[in-house]
Amino acid sequence: MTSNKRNKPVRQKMPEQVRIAMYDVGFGDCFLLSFSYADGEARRVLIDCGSTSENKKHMSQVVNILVDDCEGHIEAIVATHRHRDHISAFGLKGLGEKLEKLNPEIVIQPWTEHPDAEEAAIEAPSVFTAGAVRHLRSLDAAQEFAEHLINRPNNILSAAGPRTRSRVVRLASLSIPNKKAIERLTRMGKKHAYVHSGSQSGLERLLPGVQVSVLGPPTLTQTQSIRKQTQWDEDEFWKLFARVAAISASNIATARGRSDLFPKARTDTIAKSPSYVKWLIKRLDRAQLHNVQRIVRALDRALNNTSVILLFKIGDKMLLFPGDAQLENWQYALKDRKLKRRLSKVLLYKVGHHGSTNATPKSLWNLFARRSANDGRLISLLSTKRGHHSEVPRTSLVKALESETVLHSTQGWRRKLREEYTILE
Amino acid sequence: MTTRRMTIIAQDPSIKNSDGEILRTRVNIPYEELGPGPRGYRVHVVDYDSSQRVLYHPFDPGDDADPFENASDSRLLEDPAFHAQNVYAIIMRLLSRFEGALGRRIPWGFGVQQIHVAPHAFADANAYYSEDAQGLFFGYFPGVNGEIVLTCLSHDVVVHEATHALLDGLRETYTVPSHPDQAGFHEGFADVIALLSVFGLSDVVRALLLKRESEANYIPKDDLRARVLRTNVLLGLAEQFGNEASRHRADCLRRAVSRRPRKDALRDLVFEECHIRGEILSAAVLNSFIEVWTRRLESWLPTGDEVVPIDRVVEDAYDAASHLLTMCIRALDYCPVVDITFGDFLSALLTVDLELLVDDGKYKYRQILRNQFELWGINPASGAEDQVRAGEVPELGIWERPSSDTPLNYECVHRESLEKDMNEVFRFLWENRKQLGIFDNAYTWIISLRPCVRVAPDGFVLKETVCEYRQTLDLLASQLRSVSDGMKKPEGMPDDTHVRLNGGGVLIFDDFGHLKYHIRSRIDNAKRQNSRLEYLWRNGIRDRNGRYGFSDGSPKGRRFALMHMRRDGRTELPAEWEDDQQ
Repeated sequence: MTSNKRNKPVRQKMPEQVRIAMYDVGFGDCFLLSFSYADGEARRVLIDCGSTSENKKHMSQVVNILVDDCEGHIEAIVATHRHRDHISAFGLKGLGEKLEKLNPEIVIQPWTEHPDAEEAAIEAPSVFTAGAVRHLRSLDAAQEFAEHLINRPNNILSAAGPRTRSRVVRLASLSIPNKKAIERLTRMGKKHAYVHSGSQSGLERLLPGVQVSVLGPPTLTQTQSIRKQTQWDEDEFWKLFARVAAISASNIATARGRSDLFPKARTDTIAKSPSYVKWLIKRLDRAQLHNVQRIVRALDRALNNTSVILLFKIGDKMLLFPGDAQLENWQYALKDRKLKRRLSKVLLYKVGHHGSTNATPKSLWNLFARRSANDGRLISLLSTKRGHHSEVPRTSLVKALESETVLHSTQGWRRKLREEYTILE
Repeated sequence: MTTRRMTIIAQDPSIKNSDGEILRTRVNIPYEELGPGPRGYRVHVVDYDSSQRVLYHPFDPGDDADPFENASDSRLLEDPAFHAQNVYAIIMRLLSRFEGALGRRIPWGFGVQQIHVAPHAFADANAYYSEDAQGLFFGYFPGVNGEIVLTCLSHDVVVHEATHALLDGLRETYTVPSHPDQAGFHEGFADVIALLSVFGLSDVVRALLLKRESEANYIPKDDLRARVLRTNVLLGLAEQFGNEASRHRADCLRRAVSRRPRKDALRDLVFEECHIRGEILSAAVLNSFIEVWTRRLESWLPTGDEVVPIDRVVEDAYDAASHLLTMCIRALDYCPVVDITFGDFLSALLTVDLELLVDDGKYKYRQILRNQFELWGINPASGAEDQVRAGEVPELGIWERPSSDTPLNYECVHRESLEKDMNEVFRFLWENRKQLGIFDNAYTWIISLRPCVRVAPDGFVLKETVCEYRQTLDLLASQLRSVSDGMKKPEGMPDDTHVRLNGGGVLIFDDFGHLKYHIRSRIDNAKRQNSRLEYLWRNGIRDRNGRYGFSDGSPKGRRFALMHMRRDGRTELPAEWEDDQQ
């Protein structure tokens, strides 16, 4: 009898309807996935809730709608990575509390957010290698640097013109530590999952009939296996750390004209130096500025590449939510042939990194077989800045999305705060 | 007074003597009237820190005796004046070594005579040469324990960067986009010079070979085995920098000499990165050095004795390193103008040595070099066995001499003018373009003309005139086949892509104005151009206008900085990833 019972196929509860709500947070992400079952039950997953906007009133309106949509409870919150445009709402006074009251069963974050990485290095050494711990430290140090840069741009960006200064500060502001948001996310939820490519998502029991695969981010060990192309080399991260630490250390306590390096050394006034010395000083200042810009960009990219990539499968429908993953994050997943076959069937694609430069690599885009299909054409969701811009979203990408997919984009929204799309009915 | 003696840090502050003090030495450099900086006729130290926006008061050595001869360790570390002296002395010593080997003055690559040196240029784990700012810049950063690491105090780092600047002065075309060997050559050559030049400091070699204080004048024979020598501090590049900036490395930034040779290394994508590729070159040269050194030792080491006199060991190291260092520097004159490969450099090494020493001598430098390069799958670019049998070259690996079947026309030129007038050389080139096999449908010009006098170890004096000419051809990808039948665009490259082909050659004239060697890189060589374009295309190495072969798109003067940063922190996307975008 037991044997028969075991062999008897159990018809699993399947969602009858799947809806996805996209909220207009400005430059940021906020998506609510709702799975409705025949017994009337609904289960929900929130993927990110953040914006670069300082307009709290606007964010408050969005969160109120979101909380109403959740009807008081949510199964899971996914914070794809720690960039402000993905988690800021969790750190805002009043809004964070409302989100916390949704009382999620689980909060899912990338492995890089593990609060006790050093201890975890002992528990799960395959994920938390010594290099991984150093990597996390370098990210922390780089974020501190970003914070310092924003607070004291005159010290570090003295050679920059107003446009460059504004660009660097804007980029750095994305990466400053969202301590309040991170703390709340750590506090929220009955359970936490710190996921990596190939790990369990933690959603298995919470979403009956839905398979959820974690495609990214890879661990450093996984990334080592694609060594040639990768930038995630332990050594390289250490050097990035050294670079950031050097600039931070030299700037935090610096007053112009006094050396922290050699406090007893005699110094000269730059203005009184000969013209041929001033000529060189100008060039060195420019080189220093380039260096700072590159560190800020490297930090932005490093954080983007900690994004959780989730692939939801409901029956034959595949939904792909990659956060802001860029090519370096994708590379590990894209070497898996089976996975590539699955990705070819994706029906809905949340456009990576708000439509910016390299978050939709060609190697991924070319896999989507439903592009340009007459029936069941690929649906793309683009949460981005309003209006037209040269960098984000990238015009060539938007054109491709418009012509080859059913594109829903916040770019053209005016007074709308939310749209909902039914994927399965 | 013809020389000045200055104290420098022998390796870096982490390398101590038997008393636990920083190992230092005093070096002789050509005397000159120095201004504050120091500011001499070739080097101007400007101690500006762009991270702190601080300009240190310039160090004025005047005519004083070396003020740091008896300075304490803490003064060496904390006095920026010493740092200024350290970089000035190391660079001037290197420059004079190059000039001595080549037998002439050497220009910097940016058209003026004084190079700027900033010993505390910025807070960064980096140091680089910038042609745009006409300078060498050294950073500083906190090490593992928070102590500041000053790259300007690392002999290896200073020599490495200064060698980039010297090489750029001698072969400015080696920074033009090419296949990976060329960038690897820049790095590997700089490493080789940094490491071999230390062996010219006998007191330093002696101190670093003797591990125990008690070994005042003798060294155990066991310490002289090749395997042990390879692990010595002397053959590791930038110990302190490697330790502090790179937690993954055991003892130094690079130790190419210990790399296990692989014949397929050049074809492995991992070895496309220029520093890693450069290690192949330095591994081959440095292991040749170890082999020559140990051969010299074996020729006199007594059997039975357990210890041997250190002075003789150091002297052998000095001789072997000095010979190889001179060969490497002189070989630059015998290298092709564009797209250098490691095989080209090997042929250049062998040829320049043969010119001065017909007999390979007791220690077989040339044979050892051929063998060591061969272990890495590198064969000379010229002088194959059949060419030796046919009498086209006198020895394996040597460049071919011009064929006597197609006599050159010397009637059109004046011998004396050939040594000093570029227009005269161009006339020679033009009149003989058919005999020399020069593709005359390309933009062609003379880029340098350098008479030189070289002295062999036996005192023999060799006079030569080295002339470089260059060719470029700008065209669309669709037009490549019009240059040569075998030339083709890389797969996927659009027809309307702008590409630049490079070519050129080195003409070496003897004392009588006759052409001895024509080391050419034919612009219509389909194999070379195809592989170069394919590499540039595959890696997205293009200029800001999307053209291939013109420049690598780095901001002017930041090429070497970015090269190091790409290796260290990958602070920008590799170009091929930029391609992989919507």
